[in-house]
Amino acid sequence: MTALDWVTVLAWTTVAWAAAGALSLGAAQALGLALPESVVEKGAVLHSLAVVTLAAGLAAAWRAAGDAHLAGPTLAAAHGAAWQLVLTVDGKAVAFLGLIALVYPAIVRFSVPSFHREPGAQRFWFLVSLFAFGLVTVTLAGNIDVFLLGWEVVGVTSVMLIAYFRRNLRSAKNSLRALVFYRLCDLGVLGAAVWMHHAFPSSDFAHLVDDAAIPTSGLVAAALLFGSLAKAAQLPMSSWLHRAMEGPASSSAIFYGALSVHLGPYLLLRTAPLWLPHEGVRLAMGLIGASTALYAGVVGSTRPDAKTALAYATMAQLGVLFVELALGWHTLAMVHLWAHAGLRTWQFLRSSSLIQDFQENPMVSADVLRRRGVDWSRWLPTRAREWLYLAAQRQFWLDGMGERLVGRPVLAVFSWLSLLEGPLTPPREAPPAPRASNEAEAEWSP
Amino acid sequence: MTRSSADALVEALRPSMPIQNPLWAFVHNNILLNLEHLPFHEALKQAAAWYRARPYETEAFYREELARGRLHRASLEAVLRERLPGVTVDAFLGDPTAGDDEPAVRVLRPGALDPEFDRQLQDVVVPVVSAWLDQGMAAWDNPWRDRSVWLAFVESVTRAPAWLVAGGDAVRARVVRHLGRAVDDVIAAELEAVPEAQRVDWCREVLFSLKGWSGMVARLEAEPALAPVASPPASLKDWLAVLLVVSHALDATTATCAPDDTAPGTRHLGRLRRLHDAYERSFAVDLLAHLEGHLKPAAPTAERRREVQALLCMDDREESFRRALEAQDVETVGSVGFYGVDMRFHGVGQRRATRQCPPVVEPSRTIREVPADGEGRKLDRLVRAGQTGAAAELGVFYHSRSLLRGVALSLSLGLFSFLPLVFKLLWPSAVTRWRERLQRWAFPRPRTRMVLDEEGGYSVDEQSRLVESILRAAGFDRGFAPVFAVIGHGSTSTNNPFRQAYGCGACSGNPGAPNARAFAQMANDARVRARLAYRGLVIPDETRFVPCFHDTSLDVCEVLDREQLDDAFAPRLAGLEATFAEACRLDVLERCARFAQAPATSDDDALAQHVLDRGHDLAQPRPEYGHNRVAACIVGRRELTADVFLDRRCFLVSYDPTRDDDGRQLPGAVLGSVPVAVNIGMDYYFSRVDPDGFGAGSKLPLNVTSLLGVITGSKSDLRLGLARQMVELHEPMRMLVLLEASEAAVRDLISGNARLTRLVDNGWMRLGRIDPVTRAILLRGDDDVFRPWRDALPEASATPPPGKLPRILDVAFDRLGVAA
Repeated sequence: MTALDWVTVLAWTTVAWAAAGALSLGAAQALGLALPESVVEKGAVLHSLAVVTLAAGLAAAWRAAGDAHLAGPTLAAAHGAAWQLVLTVDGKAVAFLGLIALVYPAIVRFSVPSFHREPGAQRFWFLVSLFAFGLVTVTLAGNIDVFLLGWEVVGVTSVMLIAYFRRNLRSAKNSLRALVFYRLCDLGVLGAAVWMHHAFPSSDFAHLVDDAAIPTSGLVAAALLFGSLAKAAQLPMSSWLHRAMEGPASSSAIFYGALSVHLGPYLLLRTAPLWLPHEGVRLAMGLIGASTALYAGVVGSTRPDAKTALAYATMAQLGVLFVELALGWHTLAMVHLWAHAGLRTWQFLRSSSLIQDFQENPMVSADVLRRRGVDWSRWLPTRAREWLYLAAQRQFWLDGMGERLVGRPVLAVFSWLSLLEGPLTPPREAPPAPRASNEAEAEWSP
Repeated sequence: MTRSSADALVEALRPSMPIQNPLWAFVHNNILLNLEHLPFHEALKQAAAWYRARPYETEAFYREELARGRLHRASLEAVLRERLPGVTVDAFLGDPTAGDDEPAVRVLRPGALDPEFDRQLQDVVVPVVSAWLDQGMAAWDNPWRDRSVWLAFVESVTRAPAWLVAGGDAVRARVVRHLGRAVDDVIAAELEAVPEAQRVDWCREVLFSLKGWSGMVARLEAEPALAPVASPPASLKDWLAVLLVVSHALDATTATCAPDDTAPGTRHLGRLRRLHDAYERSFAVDLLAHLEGHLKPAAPTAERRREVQALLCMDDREESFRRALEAQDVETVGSVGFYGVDMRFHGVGQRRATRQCPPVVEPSRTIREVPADGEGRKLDRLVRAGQTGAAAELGVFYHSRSLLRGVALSLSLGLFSFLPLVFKLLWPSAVTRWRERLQRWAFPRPRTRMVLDEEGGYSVDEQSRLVESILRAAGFDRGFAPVFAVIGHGSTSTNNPFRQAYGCGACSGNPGAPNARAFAQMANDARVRARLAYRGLVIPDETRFVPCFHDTSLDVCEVLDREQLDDAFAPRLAGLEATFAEACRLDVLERCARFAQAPATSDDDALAQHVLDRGHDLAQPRPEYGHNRVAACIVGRRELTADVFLDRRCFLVSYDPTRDDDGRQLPGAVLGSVPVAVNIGMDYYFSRVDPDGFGAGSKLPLNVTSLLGVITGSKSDLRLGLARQMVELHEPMRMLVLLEASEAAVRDLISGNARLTRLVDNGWMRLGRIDPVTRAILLRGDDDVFRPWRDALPEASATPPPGKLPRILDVAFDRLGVAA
């Protein structure tokens, strides 16, 4: 086999393998089958180790063969539009796949002891393997359709894991908030996909350089920028991120420290040829990134709890990434993305150590702490400094505004739609029978 | 309401606040310490209403235990016969209202049971209080940290532009009304509509809607020194004003949907109380039959000379270790693990002194550790390196979370963080070992000693008395072996906010090594020995006291201060270390039976490695099982329980009544141990029966806040108690305390101590005694009469089958099966 054949085989196998893991656990979930804990754990470990191996093989093959654009089967064709499975293996894809191959097994290893005897652990394992499938798909996607598939899967798993502790009211509400922002911004990606099918010769990423010359490509670029905002928690779509800290530490690490939040920059990297010629889009990207970085930097410096402080720190670096992307420094952005993902994963996983760390640190004392961090605020007059502190403590009231201006209207629209739908569907005679479930709904009592 | 009446109100509320230290200074406490003046079941009912939690296990739990045979049907029958005459077991189980004679408690405010109300309250208040109490997590110092929490709250609400505040409008409007008022007047104004007689209960209910934060404020007000760095001026009165204003504002706007105003935990208390009594009784029946079956008639045992004796902590985790040592012909005695050295200990390079005595004892002295002669320069280097490293660590902590320095740090250090991420997860203990080896190579640790007898320390006289009291209480006044190991214990765990909960309870959660070192140093001192000999306690010159440290999670036991022993002692030390290694091996085997994720192998090395990794694993929520399953405390000679397998369920305190005719040693053996045992038992009890209401819930979503405690997820009340993973094997019961002493001595002891009187009279523990002469086991009844235990528990079968473990001690019969 030639190197290119290897690339082809390995790329498709990676996607298929990632899907197989998620599908088998998903089948168990759908059937309400409670598998033995050790079986699920061994399956997850195997799944993640195979992803590492396949990713390493793919990287090696890619080095020998160079960039590859792999056209797969056409799923549907109608009225001149075709939905085809296409994968791309290039430097960006291999780099991001490498990050997945490092972080995903680490999180699996971390979760084996920590989810031991946790009610609903099987649901976690299903969602995390599904997440891995979504990531691999997004990373290797060769056209917007495949990309959108993975992108949606990532969003859904993210929302479901925020609500992992489903008896906790706050978890449920916060996951709904994340869902609203995700769906709103997904309209951007979806709109871009529709328009690409309509106005561009192809939805393939390989043609983006040529597509950039099409008059409406600016609109598509703007839609893609909008689409990337929620995943990367950029202003004004950022108020869900600190609320997403409801889930277990390992899912916070892999989603909001490492992989899911960095998909925003990855979407922009992937579609760079399309938006780079559009100065307006780049200007908006830079401004959004810069203001998010400032906002998150100030708000984060007032957070007294480990996980939301890390959420804001992550958001600030993502803002910087957006600025780097807008300036066209894409190699720097990729390095920054990698390094940042590693740092935050480590910090999220270790976030329970802080009491121990500070207890053992001989430099922790009142005077050392007073000399910490925010020096620039000294230059502000007292009244302004206090006001800025209070504003930052309340997230500049964006949280409430997000709810009033985005959350409630979106939910209202959907409520209205369901009202409209009401007369169209036959009335339900009896409440649906409870679905089979492999989790005891009763209170925890081993 | 006048100023003084607001104060009176707060004073009335203060005792009901949960006792919750910052996790840095965690100690096991009876969370209901201030209700011990009430009978146990009454206090539980009270607490169920206050904490809105379940004070017993669920009925389903007791029924399962009955079906499994852990709860004996005969015990339930006996309880029903005494408490509900005329009701048979079948009638009781068949009729869910039988015995339901305890009316449920009603709450006063409609919002009190509404989770949506709690969520909104937390949204408004938690950001303010967590930032105000913050000890250094946020990079930006809170401008109000030196002012009151009321002020911090008012500013945070009123300075926001009105049009921006969504949802907080009602709170803001209400706060504006109080502007310019003193806190007392705010409280008075808020309580105007509440009937005078209900005010205390009303305010308590409001405070308990954020019980963790309220408890922390009350605790820091009482003891500001508990704050890890510096406490803000905490005041329960200011905090009450904040909560009253917000609760009343939200009460007015939240349409509550809670249809029922009874506290959920207080339903069916009558039934649960009986089931619980039967559950405890079944345990007592099984344990006492097991003990009795192994009691030998008191006969003067031949004095046998041994090579090694060991003094260990009474801790239930040392019970298995003691058995393992005894299997190698080591004589062991149990004492309260601070070994009488009631000190604060300031180790070299430490920032502050740690408290090395039980929470019920106030430390009398501060003892410093200094470098041995000629080691000063080595120490200076080590301390300087430590400070540089610590400053760098703090720098990375703050800067990696800031904006521009964060860019620089993530670009420079970010890629390197994959190294610890991968290595620490794959080889948890090896990474720590390499790091420590490297550190020791670069900055060798100096030899140190403790300065015991300088100004403010222990005089030689005091040292001799301290040593004498410990040795005599344990029954040692002759027959010293050449090696006398003094073993302190502690526990290694990683990424664990509850680390202090795994330490030595008798040393307030700190490792007991300094106490072992201090005790050994005292007992080896020739001046001390001369005084002891003068008082008739002759320690042979040949005998050396050797301080040791047992890590209960890693199961490693090492010798400390070996350079203080002369070279001629080296062969004996080698023998001691071999003994320890074998004992640790046996202990690992026993403990691994309950670690469901331990490798399924009988290879000792693999199991030892697994145990070692547990303590160093970032991901491991159960480095060890702590005091899980502990249920009894036996104060008496070790002969009573020698060769008896107790499955790490008993605190064992050595006390020899035959060498204590005047009863002078009994208080020393009991007062330091039994209250600590009850504290630990109750702490585990409450976290186990309701992990959400009394405990910290699952460890997975916990989030360290303000460096004081943990919250769940992004925002919540400060969590109380222990996490669910820490108590999952526990069987929630009151402590069964057995004292080997005459009835008169026991009665004198109990009546002479106020807390013990309360604990015994109000049924916070069950008391029994073992007669020093006849070795009969007697239990104290509610009528304060000691009866032979088979009379007190008539359902006990004649004799348990010999050679078979009772189910309460059999790992194969665990509720949470290993296969689960």
